Amino acid sequence: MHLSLDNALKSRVFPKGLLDKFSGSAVAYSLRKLSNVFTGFGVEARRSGDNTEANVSLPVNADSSITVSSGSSLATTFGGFVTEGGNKDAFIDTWYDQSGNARNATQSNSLYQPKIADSGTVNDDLDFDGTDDTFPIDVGSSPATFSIFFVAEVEAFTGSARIFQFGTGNTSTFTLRSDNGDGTYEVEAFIRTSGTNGRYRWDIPANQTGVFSAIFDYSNFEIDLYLNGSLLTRTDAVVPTGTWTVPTGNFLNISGPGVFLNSSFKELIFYPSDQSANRTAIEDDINSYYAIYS
Amino acid sequence: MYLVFNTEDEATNRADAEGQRIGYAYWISGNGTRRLNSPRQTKKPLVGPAKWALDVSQYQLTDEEKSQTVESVVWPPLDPPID
Repeated sequence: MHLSLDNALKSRVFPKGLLDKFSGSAVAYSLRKLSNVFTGFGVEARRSGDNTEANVSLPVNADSSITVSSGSSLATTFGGFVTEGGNKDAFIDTWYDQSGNARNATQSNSLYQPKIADSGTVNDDLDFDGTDDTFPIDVGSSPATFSIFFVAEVEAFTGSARIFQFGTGNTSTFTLRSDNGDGTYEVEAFIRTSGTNGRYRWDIPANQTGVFSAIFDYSNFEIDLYLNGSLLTRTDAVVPTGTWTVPTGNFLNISGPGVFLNSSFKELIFYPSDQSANRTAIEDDINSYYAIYS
Repeated sequence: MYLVFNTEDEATNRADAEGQRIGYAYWISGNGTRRLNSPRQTKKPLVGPAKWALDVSQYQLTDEEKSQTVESVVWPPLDPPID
């Protein structure tokens, strides 16, 4: 007997993930499941004390099932893993890429790993300590234009810190960073070129978890930053001159290098393309899960 | 507190040795956490090449290593300069 489901029924029984609806991401990291096609784990976690490591299924929370990858544990859930033999902290050494490109973000240095559990309590985000925590990411091919969507709490403004940076070196970097240069909470895009460097600034609320969207077109140095679905008004703009050559290495850092962010992340998706046409729908998908704004 | 090495390989080997002593996953299963931290290149002096500094504040050091530690090193400027 052959069974078939009409599309409406299929969408109810098998609701599409964000990446199923909006394909083409270069990398996609989240603590929720972003794609029906992706069958892997969400993160690999290392617990304090005995440094045992385990892969954690999606969505990542205290009830998630685990598979021990190194060391020894009788726990079957992530919550059990971090309370086994006493309450432990847990840190992330791998944030698995759900894009299908297998570009997992790995941090093999224990001191640089963001924290996901405090004294036996599993948190709903990855906490970067502002001292040295960072995730280097290979985003693959060189994009002419890129779009980044991330869910984060940009907190603890003490000077400035990089939210993420695309490329390194003395020319052609794109840095999105927190800043409190004039005493207010700001996000600044810093564009380093062969000529005069540019910057754009936007005010943001203090210590607020938000859905941030940034779409950068380097052909005309245009960048728009959205917070919770709304275009932020620039408070300052210095348009760069010269040329911006796509950085070699094609890497992106969440936090760092050099100046580190004291903030927490739930999700980051990088498209090597202009996603302006899909921006609202992508933000709606993100917000329908996290319920950050109305 | 830092140990300063002439080459990146020497510094990385010392970081690996500490990771192995701790028993991180990489040294058991070949994947996952490998070290406490990694060395960073210092500012190039006027004469000679730059060196590699490893923060060993949380390391178990030998007496000889303890006698070789320094409290601070000079780093190159941040990349890229901000503002």
